[in-house]
Amino acid sequence: MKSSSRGLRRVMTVSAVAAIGGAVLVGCSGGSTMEVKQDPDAELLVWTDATRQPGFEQFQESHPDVKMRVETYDSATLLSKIQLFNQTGKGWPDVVFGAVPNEIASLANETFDFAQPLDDLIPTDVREGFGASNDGCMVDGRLVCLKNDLAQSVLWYDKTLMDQFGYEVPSTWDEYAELGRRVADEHPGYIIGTAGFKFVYYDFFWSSGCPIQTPGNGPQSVRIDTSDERCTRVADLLDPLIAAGVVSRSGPFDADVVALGQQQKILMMPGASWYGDFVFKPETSYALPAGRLAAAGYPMWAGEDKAWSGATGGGIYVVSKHSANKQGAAELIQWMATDADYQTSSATYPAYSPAADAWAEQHSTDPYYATDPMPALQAQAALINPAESNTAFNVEDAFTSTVVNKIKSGDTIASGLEDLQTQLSQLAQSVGYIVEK
Amino acid sequence: MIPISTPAPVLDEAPALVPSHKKRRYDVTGIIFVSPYVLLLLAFGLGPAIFSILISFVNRTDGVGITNYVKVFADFRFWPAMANVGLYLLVWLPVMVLGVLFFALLLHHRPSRLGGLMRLIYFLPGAVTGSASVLLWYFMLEPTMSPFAPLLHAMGFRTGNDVFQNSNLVVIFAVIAFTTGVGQWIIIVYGAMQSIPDDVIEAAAIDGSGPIRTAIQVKLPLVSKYVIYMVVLSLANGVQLFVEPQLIYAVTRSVGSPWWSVNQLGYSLAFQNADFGSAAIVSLVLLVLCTLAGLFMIFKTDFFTTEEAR
Repeated sequence: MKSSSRGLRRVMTVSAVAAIGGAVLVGCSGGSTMEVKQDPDAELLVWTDATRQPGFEQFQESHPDVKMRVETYDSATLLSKIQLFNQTGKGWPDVVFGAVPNEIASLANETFDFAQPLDDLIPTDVREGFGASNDGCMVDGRLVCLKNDLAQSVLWYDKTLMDQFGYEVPSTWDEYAELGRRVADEHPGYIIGTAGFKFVYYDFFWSSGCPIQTPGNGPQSVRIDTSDERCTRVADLLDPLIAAGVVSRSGPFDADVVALGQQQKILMMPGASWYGDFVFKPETSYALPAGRLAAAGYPMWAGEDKAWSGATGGGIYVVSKHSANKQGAAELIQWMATDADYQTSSATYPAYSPAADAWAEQHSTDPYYATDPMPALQAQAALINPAESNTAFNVEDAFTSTVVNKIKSGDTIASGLEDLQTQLSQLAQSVGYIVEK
Repeated sequence: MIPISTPAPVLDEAPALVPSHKKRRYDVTGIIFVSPYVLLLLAFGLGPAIFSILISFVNRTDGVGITNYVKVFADFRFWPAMANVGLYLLVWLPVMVLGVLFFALLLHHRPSRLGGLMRLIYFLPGAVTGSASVLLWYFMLEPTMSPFAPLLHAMGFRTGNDVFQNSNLVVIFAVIAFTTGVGQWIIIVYGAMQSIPDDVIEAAAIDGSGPIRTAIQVKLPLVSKYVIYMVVLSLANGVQLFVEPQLIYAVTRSVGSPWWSVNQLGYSLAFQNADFGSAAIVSLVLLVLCTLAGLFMIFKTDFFTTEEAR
């Protein structure tokens, strides 16, 4: 008896400790919104991903008097960590590179209370240089982040294969579907896109303008309606192509699609502007040899007058409200987002227009591409569908557990739209949105 | 008797053990020995539990009340998470109990030189635990990388997509938990069997009991206390399932969800939504479940009466 009741006590302890460990932290909650005393010499703690790290190091070299410490972090944990710092009342980084632009809506809201408004810290002419690229950084009429790069979708294609098969690059989704049917008949085993990943939202639903994160009429309201024609037409387009095997049920990073890439069986792939350098080119990815890849403008949806893109990412720089050196932090992110030298050599398509032009000039002669990809990238940069906005709820997880899950398990996109509606609506409501249909 | 906080697989007190509810004088030594444990229990067990009960009534927007409870129990993620974990326990616990008993009885049946080696072999997989075991199993189950690829192919699994389906998750997690957990429990239950007096086994043999009958009717009742202990602890472990679904979701980027298990949902609520009140409720649900299951197994099963009635 004795050891069993010991066991019970232990069980209670173990479960209480483990399950409640997180909750106890709320006890230390300070919730202080007091202004932090500013010190222009205060050290800046920078959180970045590995891709942007050389940029921060370059800044440090050209500004040796700025005290800064650069750390890389896992972007999936950003919100959790900010939440923890909010509980303990200290530890926040001064500058963050955020890989998930949607999170700015959380970082700037009352709950997280992290993103510093930058209206007074970034000069007007610099802000104007971004054009519409910074629109996602405007929360309640205030600028709360700077956009680093654009991730507009374009239609990537293997020019060598297209020429060899005698196919024309489609300019509408109807033509894309038609070509898909031909590929299924004439060249089975080749694919023209993927659908089994959360990017199906950015690549198709966003470009179509499906109301997922569409701003509603009132404040704190959002339109979510997966029964809208602009959502169902995505299912109508993709479901038959998936069934025919020309659009993969896996995602672009799954082992079987990577294998297809290495066998040079990817004819086309709708995807972000960074796919060329980061998905097709690397040896560890598709390893497509130089001289084959090209980019075309995004196909147009029937009834639209513009060939809208989606946007798969596009990083942002955020300054902390808690920083003791906001001016220094703002100067740092301004340099990162706009410096001609750094942005021209950066890995992704710059959001800052002057830098983007310089970047395009340099990359248009890149021998890796069969034809100059820049006209397509530049055209689509101005065509990111404004239907979607950043929201304080996470859309990717809902897509994964509904639509993507259906695709992967052999079902259709259409069969997942209702669940998607339910999940998105509840997620939105759980963080205080009013959902309009 | 001085409470020992480490459960030792020693059973020499067992046959003589009689539950004692008599009031006894507590001596100072006993209090000194038990006090560190009581302090830790208060600091890391009861304290947080009471605290989470308090914050579960605090809502960011509506102030104090039961709105959090209404919200959590109506949340579209809550009941599926409960169902996932429940199903997982239904698959895993019976397999675990039967597996542990089978191997322990096998080890105990004929002690030999190989016995020590076998104990080590059983114990080894338990050395790879937590996140490491999840990744190990991911590689073993992913047909494009697995050393067991031909076997997976023969079972009809061609790609990772075929294996890592939501409908397979329960079985995958049960397999992982079984392989990492079974070893240590085999050793513990085997240890308990070691202390069954030889004369009991001999008496059974003289009475004409074969090895299977001896195992079921003599050995099992004598180690039942340890089986109960295993079930209670495993249940407590199992309802807290977190690392496995969290990692599989991170690695596959699409299988499961950030709220597949109850514990994950609590984590999501706390750290994605900054809703600590609701997260506390999810933790309390786990606490209540563990406590009820523990109480049920201790007071409502006949394991103990079997032992005492013998």
